[in-house]
Amino acid sequence: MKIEFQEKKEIKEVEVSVTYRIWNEEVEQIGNCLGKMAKCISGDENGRQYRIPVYSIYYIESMERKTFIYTKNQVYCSRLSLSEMMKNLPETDFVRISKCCAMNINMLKSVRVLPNSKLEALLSNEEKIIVTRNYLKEIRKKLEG
Amino acid sequence: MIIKGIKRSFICMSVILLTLSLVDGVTENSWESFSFQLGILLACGVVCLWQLLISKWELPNYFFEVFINFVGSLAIILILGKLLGWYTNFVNVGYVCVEVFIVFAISYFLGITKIEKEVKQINEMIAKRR
Repeated sequence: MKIEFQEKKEIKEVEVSVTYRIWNEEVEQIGNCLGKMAKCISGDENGRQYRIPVYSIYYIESMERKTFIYTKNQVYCSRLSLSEMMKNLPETDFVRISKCCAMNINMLKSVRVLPNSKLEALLSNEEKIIVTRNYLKEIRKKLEG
Repeated sequence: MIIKGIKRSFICMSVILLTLSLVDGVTENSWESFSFQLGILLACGVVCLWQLLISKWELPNYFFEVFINFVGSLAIILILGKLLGWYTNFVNVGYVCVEVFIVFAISYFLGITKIEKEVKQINEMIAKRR
């Protein structure tokens, strides 16, 4: 497989084209990966609606009947519940880490056991979130692919 | 989660049965009686439900979870045991308490070890992905 990157100043968004001789499993996998990257969900910030690319989300948290979407620098709000949101993200790298929180597995840097036996996940933006023990298996499964 | 609950309650109940068989409180006739066997199954079911409830609560502290689990399971076993007439005197109850405590103490340390092992595996997987 040949990978080529081209810089074009005139285009507004990243363009990806896949050239293949025969449609096979490899091409299908590339398509699935790109599909995941291109997936967006909507969220509000200061009354404005935004489309948030799924790959840029660190974690999603549900609190007092509101769902918050955390990216590197922004926090968006959504009217959808965490379960509804997870239904929209079935083939993505999101994994439930507690009753009220789901995390993007690609943003996970490490997990550690705290002295009181709580589990803490360190994300790539150095943010720390609590993981419930019951969901450890799911994290491992997601990492295994 | 259901399988985990059933497994845990069966471990707990098997220890209780072992205790009952070792102490003088339960006679040979009791073991053969249908109501006694039904009582054991009933206790097993109630303990199983309790275990499932505990798992659903997602208590943040593992020690606290195991402790609550221990107190709850012991209370269920003691109350049901008393209602079903398993205990003839307090000596047997003491045995049951000690046995259940040992089971939970072991399960706590095994649980902690398992969690640490899983966390280590997860960190290794993350390192491999990078």
